[in-house]
Amino acid sequence: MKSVFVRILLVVAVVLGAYTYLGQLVPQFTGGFPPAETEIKPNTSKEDLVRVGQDLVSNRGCLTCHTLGGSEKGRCPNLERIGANAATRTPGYTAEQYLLRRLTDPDFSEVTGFPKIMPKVWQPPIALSFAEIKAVTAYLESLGGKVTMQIKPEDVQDIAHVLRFPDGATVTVKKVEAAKEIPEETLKEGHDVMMSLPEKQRCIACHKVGNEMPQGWIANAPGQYCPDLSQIGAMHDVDYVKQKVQNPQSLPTVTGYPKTMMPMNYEQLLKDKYGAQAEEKLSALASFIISHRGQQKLPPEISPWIIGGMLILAIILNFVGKRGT
Amino acid sequence: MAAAGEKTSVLKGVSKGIQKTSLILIAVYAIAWFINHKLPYSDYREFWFTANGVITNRMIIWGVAQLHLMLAAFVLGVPIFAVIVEIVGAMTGDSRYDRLAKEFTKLLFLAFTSTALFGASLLLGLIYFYPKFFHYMSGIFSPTWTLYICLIFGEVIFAYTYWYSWEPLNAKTPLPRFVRFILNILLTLVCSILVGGLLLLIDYSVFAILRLASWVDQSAPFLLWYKQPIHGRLLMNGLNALVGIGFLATLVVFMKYWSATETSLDRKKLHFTIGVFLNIFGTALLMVANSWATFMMTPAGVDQNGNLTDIMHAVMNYAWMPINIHRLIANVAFGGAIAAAYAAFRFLGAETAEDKAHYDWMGYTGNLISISALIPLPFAGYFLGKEIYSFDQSMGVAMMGGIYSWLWIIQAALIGGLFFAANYYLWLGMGRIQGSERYRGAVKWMLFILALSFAVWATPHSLVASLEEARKLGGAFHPILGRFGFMTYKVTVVNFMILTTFFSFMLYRRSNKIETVSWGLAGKLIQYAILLITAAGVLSLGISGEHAETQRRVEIFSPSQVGMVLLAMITVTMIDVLMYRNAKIIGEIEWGKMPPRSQYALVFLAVSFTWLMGLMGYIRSAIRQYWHIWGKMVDRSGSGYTPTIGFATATVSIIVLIFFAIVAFVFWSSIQSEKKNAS
Repeated sequence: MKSVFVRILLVVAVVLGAYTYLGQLVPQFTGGFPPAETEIKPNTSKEDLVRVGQDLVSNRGCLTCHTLGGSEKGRCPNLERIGANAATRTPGYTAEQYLLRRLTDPDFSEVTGFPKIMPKVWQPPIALSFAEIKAVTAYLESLGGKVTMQIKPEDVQDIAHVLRFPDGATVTVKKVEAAKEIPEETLKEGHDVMMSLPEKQRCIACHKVGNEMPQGWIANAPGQYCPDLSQIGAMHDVDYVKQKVQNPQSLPTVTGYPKTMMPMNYEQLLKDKYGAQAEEKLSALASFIISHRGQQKLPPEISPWIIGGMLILAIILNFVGKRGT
Repeated sequence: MAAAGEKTSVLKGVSKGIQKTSLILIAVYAIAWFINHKLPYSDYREFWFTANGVITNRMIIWGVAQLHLMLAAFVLGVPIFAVIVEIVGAMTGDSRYDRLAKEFTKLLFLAFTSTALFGASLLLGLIYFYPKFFHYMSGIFSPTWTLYICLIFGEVIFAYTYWYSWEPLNAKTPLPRFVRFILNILLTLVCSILVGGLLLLIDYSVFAILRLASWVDQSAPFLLWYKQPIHGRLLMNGLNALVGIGFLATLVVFMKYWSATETSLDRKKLHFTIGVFLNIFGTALLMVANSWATFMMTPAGVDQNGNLTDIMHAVMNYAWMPINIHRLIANVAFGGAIAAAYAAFRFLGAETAEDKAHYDWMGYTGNLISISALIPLPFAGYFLGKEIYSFDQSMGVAMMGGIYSWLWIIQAALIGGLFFAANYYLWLGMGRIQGSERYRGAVKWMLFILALSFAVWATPHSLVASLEEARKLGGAFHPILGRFGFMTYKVTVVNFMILTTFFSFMLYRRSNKIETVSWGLAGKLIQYAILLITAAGVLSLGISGEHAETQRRVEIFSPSQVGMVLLAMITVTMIDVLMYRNAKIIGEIEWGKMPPRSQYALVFLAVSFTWLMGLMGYIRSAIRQYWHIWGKMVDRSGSGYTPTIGFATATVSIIVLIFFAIVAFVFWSSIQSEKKNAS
């Protein structure tokens, strides 16, 4: 028994040794410490701004694709000399303007040899505030260039920020409206508006909207006919939903879904039903839809059809049983 | 008199368990009170050796939590299959199953105290090292604590009753009619819920394939009809109704079955009903504890400032149900693997042919249960990953594309090793079955598919290459092999590995049998056709997935692949069961005639499972990065960063080594008690 024990111990040690060795073979990266809690203010110094920007770049996933120094080629460009190179990329743009445009509207130009996979940093999942975008810009400028970025009083305000660029382009950076800011009464009103629509034209007839399900979870798995709206609040705002309801064709269709599925008559439907209050009701409906940010999840319900099926069989069995007796 | 004596011994056993648990709880309460009231408060506390040494607060908590989890997984996993094995034994009348179930339960019993002690240490460690975090968590989850303590006592009462009543309830004397009636209803419900779960799985699989069909761009009349929401919904509601009918029908069938069982089995029925309750309490314990761990990853039910708004939302957060499912299945796989390793240890040391035969059979059964649970695990993992992405894409991106991405390559090597070892054990096992030589030719092909699948799975998504290498390759991807790094191919090959393992088991099962039904040839052809069509479907979806939009791939293609494989396995098994009823046996299974290397394969499986659990536990926890609670509470202790993969894997290995030292002690105690009883 003792020799068996030793041999098994040897197998355990060899297997564990092999797995540990395997762990040493792959590239060894470490994740950074949490960023220091620095509030960006209009008088924040350039040094502090660069430091905050560096923390954001390290901790908000930028280095998932970009590299910083070294000879390794990442999925996206190496940022080592970006502060110096940025000024030469687009004619008429300063380094600051180029970086701001690249962060807020990444598809405006191509970087040779790299795919267009950069997300807009002010939108989820990165969701930087305007002041944070400026801090990241300051840090990127510091990589081989001169830091020109400054924070103005309006930069830290919770408003839509319009960036104007030398070629006449404008980009609006707007904070996504948080669900909790929508009053409870508005949410209830929006829900009532949805339920007042004809059954087949309610949003939940085709979309999955949080836990609002006309039938059980199997019958309404997300992505069946129309996009799942359970997280729409994390991606869009009330105006987007209103526009999509009023004129579905005016906005791009979510990839993978048919273009003509969304009915065109919602505006008319609401006008017929609510008259002068139609606009207000539409806002309430859009607020209700946008309140779904996917942060809460309840367990799936059992389809009433499953219960229905059981009932049908119970009735049949009852009859069969009676005949038998 | 004898019955009164047995009752007393059961009560004595249970009261011993309650006393032991109460003692641990009282001690924990006293120490916790001392830490909270007598030690100065600080957001983080240190021991003298954790402040600047290699061993940090985090490492202590990491080790203790992981060891508690591993032991708890064993303690929760073993009763699940002990009860299943016991029921199978009672239904088939084969006493070997009863001995096996009892032997498993004895192992569980020995691990019980260590689990409780590690759980207590974890709690005290959190109170001492992370007071701020602990106070916040206990504030949010205080209502669940009372429930947790009640569940612990429930678990203890049923576990001790289950063990101590084993022999008394083996008696053949019938029970009063009323008790029998209640038992029949309970067992009917349990069996029907299990079958109901299977029906829901079939429902889901058909639904996933139909959804795929609705996407196929062709003008087939059925697809055009199904594409209409009203028709699609009609079909799905019909399917759901069928599930309901099926569930009720199984209720009726099981009610009839259990009512018809002999009254001499009454006491046995009472015994496994106790086992069922033990599992209900165990699963409930797991679910409560999971709510705390998952809240840290995907917090819900709290406002922007972290104040509790809804306790039920906090409990039922995004990752809660996927983790419940994942851990429940993994516990069974893990428990089975450890029990099989125990059997291997006993087999290698066995001196008589009878003992060898018994432990060979025990190892086989443990491994079978373990592999059966391993097969759905990747699907459960996929569900968990999908929910993490749904909660917060940046967490998902960090998990799959950030610094953790290389951990998946290591995981691929491990899963590959598990599938290889499991199949290798089955192929060696075929050697002890007369008649299996008919199927040995298939082994090399299965090995080929497994090796190819493994190679694809272990291909990294983007190679970290030097600029010179990258230039030669023409980019970060290899021009040919690079595409195998895409998720679509990885999902495809894991389905191939599962199908291959299933096929291995199918051949193993029919090794010494020849079907006697008239439709035998047709049945076999249908089975092979189903498997081939499924493989072709999975492959074509995998190839199409390369150019499909992510959303379409994640929402439609991958679930359809899973649905196809599940449906194929269920239908082929059903045909197999019908085809081999009353089959002609052409050779005996010579239990005990297994080469020693097969037993080392079982040990390898157990170590790999345990290590994999440690690695996955690390990933699950590490994707929070420097957050104690994602987005709510930052870790500002000295350990609030992600360590290197090398460090993490070495730590996991040390934890696994300690775990096996504890397991070895448990096994040794079991053998010592056997010897004592024998003498």
